[in-house]
Amino acid sequence: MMHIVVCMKVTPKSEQVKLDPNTKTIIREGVENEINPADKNALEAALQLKDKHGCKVTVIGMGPPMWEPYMKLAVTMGADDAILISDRAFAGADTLATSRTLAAAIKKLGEYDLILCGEESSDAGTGHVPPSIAEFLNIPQITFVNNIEIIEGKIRAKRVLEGGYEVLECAPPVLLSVEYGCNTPRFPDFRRKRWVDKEFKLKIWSIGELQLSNEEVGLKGSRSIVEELREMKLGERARQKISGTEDEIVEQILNIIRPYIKK
Amino acid sequence: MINTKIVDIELMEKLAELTSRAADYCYQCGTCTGSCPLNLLNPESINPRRIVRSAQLGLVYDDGNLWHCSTCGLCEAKCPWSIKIPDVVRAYRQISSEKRKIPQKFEEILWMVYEDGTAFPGSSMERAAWTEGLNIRDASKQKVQVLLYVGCAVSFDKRLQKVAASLAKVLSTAGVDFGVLGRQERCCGDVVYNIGEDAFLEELASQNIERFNKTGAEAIITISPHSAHMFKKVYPRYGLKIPAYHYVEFLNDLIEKGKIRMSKPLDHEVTVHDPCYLGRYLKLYEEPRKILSSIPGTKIIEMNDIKENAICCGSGGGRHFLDIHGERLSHYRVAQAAQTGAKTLVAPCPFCIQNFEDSVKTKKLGLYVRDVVELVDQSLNGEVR
Amino acid sequence: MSQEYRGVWVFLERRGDEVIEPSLEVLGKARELADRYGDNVAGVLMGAKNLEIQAETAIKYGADVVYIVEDPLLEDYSTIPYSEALSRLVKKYKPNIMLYPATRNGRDLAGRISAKLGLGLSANTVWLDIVGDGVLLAGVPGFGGGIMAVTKCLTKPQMSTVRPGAFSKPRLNPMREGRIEKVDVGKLPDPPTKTIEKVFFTVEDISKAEAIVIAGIGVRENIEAVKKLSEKMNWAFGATRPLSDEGLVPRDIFVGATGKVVKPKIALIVGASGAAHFISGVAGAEKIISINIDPEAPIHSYSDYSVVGDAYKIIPKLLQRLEAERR
Repeated sequence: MMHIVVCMKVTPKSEQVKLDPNTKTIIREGVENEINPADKNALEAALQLKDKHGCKVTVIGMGPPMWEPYMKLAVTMGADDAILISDRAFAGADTLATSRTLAAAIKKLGEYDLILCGEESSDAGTGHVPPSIAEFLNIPQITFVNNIEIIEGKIRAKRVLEGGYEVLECAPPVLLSVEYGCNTPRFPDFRRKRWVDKEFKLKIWSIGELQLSNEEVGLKGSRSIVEELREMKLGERARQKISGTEDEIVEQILNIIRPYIKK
Repeated sequence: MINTKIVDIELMEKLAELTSRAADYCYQCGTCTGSCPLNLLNPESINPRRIVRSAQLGLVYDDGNLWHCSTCGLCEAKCPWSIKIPDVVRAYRQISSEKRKIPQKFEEILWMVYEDGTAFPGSSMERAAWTEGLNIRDASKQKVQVLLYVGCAVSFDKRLQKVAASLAKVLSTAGVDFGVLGRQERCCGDVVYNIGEDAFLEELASQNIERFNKTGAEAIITISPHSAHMFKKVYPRYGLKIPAYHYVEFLNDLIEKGKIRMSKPLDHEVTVHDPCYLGRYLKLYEEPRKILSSIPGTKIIEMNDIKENAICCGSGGGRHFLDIHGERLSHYRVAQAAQTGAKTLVAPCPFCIQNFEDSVKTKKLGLYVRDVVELVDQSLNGEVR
Repeated sequence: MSQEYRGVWVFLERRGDEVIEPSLEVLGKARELADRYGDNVAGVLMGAKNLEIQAETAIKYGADVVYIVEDPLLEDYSTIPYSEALSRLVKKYKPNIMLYPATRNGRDLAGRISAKLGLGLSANTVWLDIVGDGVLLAGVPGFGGGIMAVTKCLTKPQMSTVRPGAFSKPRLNPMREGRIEKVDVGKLPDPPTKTIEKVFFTVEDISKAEAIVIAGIGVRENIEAVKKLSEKMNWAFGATRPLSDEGLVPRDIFVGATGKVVKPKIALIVGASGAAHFISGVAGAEKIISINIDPEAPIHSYSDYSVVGDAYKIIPKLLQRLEAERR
């Protein structure tokens, strides 16, 4: 039975995040969180493979204790197990330190065949963690995948590129990053939730459980830092209102666009 | 080879249990299928008779049109035995839900209800945006006597927000001690109930009931008949003890007690649509009419197919969220309304109003579409719209 | 200036026989950054053979030197051979800055190199600056484009992926001279993946468009009319994300923070409400004219000209008038 590991991140809901213009920090109060949307797609892809081939699905995430209900939500959706990697030492990690930490946790899991990640997270949106994890684990990677098949023990993935696609085949273990929106994440099974709430125990691993030193994780393990945050000023516009009857409006629009019409 | 279906006794018993044996009395006369409004415009859209037959025999019903039923209940009203056909539809949907087999769009709606507390796209942060400047009490911060439950559609749709604003004004004028949950308000779960996701509904309802209890309210009034139905008929099984009303009951009571005195005549000819969940489900046919009759200058001209025979606007049962093609029921209904010669179509339901406003625009009819309280507000506070 | 790490390097991603535009955009910016503190610009070009012509072109777009790595395994982009080759190059030459286009392959590669060499990496930047002695500052957009984080790398080479369309394609200078250096990086590992199928279609890249009509969810019932308008005027046709998510338009043409970033001279936006992530995709337009029936839609404050009106009526009328004017 194949073992699939899904990496998950909990992110603030993008549309709710605002920048405090005075302190230049993110206003976190009152902002709601969610499972990073692309990671939901990754989990759904894993669960579809589980439905078809009977795999075991483990969800893993690096974050604060506040992530617990979201990790459990993944199990409610159908994952078999979930592990939260949580420790003060992990705070302030950039993508390099995060990937190193996640890779160490995956190594500790033991045998795995497939690692699935969302293509990028809705907050920073770097997309760098999946390839970095693959490099730390020294396994192949296929990024931006929107279709996964297991054929005779090999992984076949459709990788979507700008203006085209390629279908690649690889023997496990391999890491795939999954395109946002490539499937419809299933609604959690609230019957299963009763079991999750009563009996499922979320494993929480701190730095002691991983073969890493303080220098390799969190802020200390990072090699890039955020100097400051700025509001993206999207440029002031003239804001001229066009009004009148429908025909007058059409006339005015034509006058504006006519010089740019190409024959 | 004859095409046979397999009878599943377990399924039969499960359906019987879920519907309190609703299918037992059916003798397959077919009146239901004949009177279904969906079939009126798009022949053979759905076959209620066959759904009930499948339930009787314990057959799987996996036709996609199971999800097109608007649960309007006209079939039940016409049925010689008044068989609760919408319940049978919901039971089949629940069984599909348990198997994790529901239409994709509904899966997305369920996520929205779970994560954002709304069945309509909208950020929970903006849910109380309509209350700005209206001085409405926040029931999540202080105790109130009456909890006004606004609902998702009304909270996020600019056209429908006017109904909430009107109701708030009328209640204030009548001196009612009321408040809203504002940002704390969550979906009533009507769409969850109609999808058959009962396990999630249990959690949703329990959490809502806790919120309602904290307000200390002695009564809940709703703007949507769908919410009213949920709180009156479904929530009690999850422990809701607070009595719930649709606002027309409450308003009618206030008018009869003389707490609202409308003075500005509207000189209006109106026609009344009976929303499925207000009329057939809650039997509130007279209240909207009584209220309208007490607005000076208002004359009611009834259209065809009213009260128990009212034709659905097309949105119940989760249909509001599906992208179904074909002629819209609401087009048919507004045409009926226009035929009366009345200038205003009154429909006390947010879904109906959304559909009728769309249809009036599309069909270029000169009809106003209003909720009951908007006319009351006009007569009370005299704003010309 | 630090003697140890020198050079502003750009990964020149290829598609077939051409270096793709996003790499050229990065090259142009690299030139500007290098000139700021007096450094050289180098392009890294990898492939199977016959790369000289592309290398020459890169020089004419601003590179002082182009390093060519030739190997049959590098014919098309593949993570393992490419990342191994690039990491060996970087270790040998020690550039100060290493930039990649934030294309899918670019991000696939950059993330791998970051872990391979333990290097900090800024992502998807839309803004780059130099301070002090060749220190790179990168502006990374986040949260759907509303907020930008200014980041700095603590290691060298300082690395960043650059959002396509964030910078303009540089001018081609046919007189520009530079050096081509073929580098032997040794035996490269075989790719662990086998290519079963590869399909590329020529899609008109709307990010290069000079004029564009963009359809939003407000016109979902008649997207064809909006498309027809764009065709009649010979403008590009784009859409907002919701239309693409619903499958009503191809994914390649949606404009937004996570889609195409366009910088046309004029953009006509029809039926889009103006969500922040969409606006950041079209903010570079010189002139924006929008039509939206909702007077409170944010798009109106992001436009130079705005119409509060019914696009379903206005677009057909525009089409009629244009048809009449043609005769």
